[in-house]
Amino acid sequence: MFKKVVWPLVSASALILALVFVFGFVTSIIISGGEADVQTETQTESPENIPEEVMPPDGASDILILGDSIGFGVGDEENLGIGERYLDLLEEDSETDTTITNSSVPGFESSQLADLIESGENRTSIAGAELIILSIGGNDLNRLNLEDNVTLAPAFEEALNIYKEDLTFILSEIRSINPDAQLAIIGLYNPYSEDDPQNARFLLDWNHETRLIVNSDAAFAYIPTYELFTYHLDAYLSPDDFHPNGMGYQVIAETLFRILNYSTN
Amino acid sequence: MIALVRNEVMKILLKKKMPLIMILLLIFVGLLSYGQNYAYERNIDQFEAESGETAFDWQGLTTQRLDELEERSQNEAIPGEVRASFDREIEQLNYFIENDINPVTPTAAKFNVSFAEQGITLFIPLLIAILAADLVSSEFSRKTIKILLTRAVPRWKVLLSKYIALLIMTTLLVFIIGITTTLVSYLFFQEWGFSEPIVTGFTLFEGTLNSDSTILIPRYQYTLLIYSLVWFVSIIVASITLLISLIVDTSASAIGILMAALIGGQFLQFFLSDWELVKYFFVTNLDLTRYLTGSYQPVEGMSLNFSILILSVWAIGSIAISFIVFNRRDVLV
Repeated sequence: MFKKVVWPLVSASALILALVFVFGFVTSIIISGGEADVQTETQTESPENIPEEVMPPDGASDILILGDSIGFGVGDEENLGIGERYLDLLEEDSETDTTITNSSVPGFESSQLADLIESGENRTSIAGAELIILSIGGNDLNRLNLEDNVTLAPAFEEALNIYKEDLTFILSEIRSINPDAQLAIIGLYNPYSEDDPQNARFLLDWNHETRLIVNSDAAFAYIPTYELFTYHLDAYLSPDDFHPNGMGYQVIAETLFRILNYSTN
Repeated sequence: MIALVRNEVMKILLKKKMPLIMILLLIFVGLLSYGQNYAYERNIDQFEAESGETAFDWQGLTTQRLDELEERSQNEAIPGEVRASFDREIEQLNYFIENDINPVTPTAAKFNVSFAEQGITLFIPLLIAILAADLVSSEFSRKTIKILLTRAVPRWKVLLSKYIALLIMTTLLVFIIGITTTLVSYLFFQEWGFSEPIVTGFTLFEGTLNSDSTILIPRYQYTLLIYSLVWFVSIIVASITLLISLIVDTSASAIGILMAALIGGQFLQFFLSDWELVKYFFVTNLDLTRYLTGSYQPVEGMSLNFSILILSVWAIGSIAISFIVFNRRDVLV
């Protein structure tokens, strides 16, 4: 009795399941396999589109922001970012008709910014800018969080060297296009203050190297953020615990204003 | 032929292997889903205690993430393909908000997939080994092989029927694993979650993981895809175990050899990840599900197609050797 029921049940269900599984198996291969060609097509298209989109309408504005998500303003509840907040401070002092171009791309690393500048897409906006605010390096450094303890130190050295080369290159490119503009770079703060002291050391090394490069140019300001943020992470960080919130951006913009502009009040 | 296969299936069933495997599965799945539920609830409690008695506000966090993504997907400085991948995440998050589902809640649909992902390299192959290891060797150790081979049936038919029976049982076993993990974890989580959308379809492009070609599919389809890969891997392992079971005399050594190969293979992968040859070893390629989840470090030259090819070569090779060995073997018992 047992045998008679079991065998048809087992064989039939195994057959059906096998068909289902074969179907699913083929689908998985298709999903994760055959789309490499599509990718190459879209990649060739994009370079044509970007330049016209990024180019500001009248060719230039007075403040240009280049760099990563911090330059872009990710985490700011009011979507102002450093540039708009800095502009507000300027306007408190005196009426200006200064305009801002924000060409930051969240997630950018120093090498990507170097490539962007080398490509010449921002040439007109760089040439016309009076103040260029750079925010770069955070993603270079943050990528190291994936490394384990053994590979961390050499990976840091390598990332730092690449960053130094990129920043020097970015500086010389900008200066060859626009020798007179005031430059400013936003230093890195440590969003993980309570974690590993080793990471804080790396970050300070990183900022120090940035300062040395900044110092090589006469009109290049370093905007410190490490000290501003250290004791106020809860107040200055957005809920993603990484990017600044509106208050954080306000503090950076105020520091920028204090460093660059003489104010009587 | 069908009678032979039927006979072999009956032999496997009568050996009470399936109940043993079921008990193992129930114990592990029960413990794991209880543990996951416990950890989840404790995390929530801890969060609420830290943030001063306020309820865990996942909607706020999700909405914030959503706003940020929407803003980014409007940013024209970001290339179009990247923005398309933001759009898929936006769609996914919108689903969670509209249906009032906390994205981090454990559900049965998430559990059965993560069980398959974790088990595919070791646990599931070992269950298959329990099933397959004594398929041939027990005939020798019980000396029933003589009776089997004195029938007027060619030797290859005997082995083929054993192999088909093994495939049938493997297929059922994969199904049972899927059903057990889903049902047992549902008991703990009280949440099916089969219609939630999930992102898949990562491709490798010039050595880096590419999320531009990802698509959004419901969880039940995703589960089906994952278990299809588990099924394929199980069949490969079953074929290799058949060969091992043929070569050695006892089922204990067959299981031992397979375990050594599986665990040793993980070590190889860990210590010698730079060594070119390692990626041609079958154990290195067992973890097929990672290609769908996109949660892996890309290794030069390894893709889903590559792994499937290597596994197939191993399986076909073992089956071929099995038939040759079985045909030529002197039976002296």
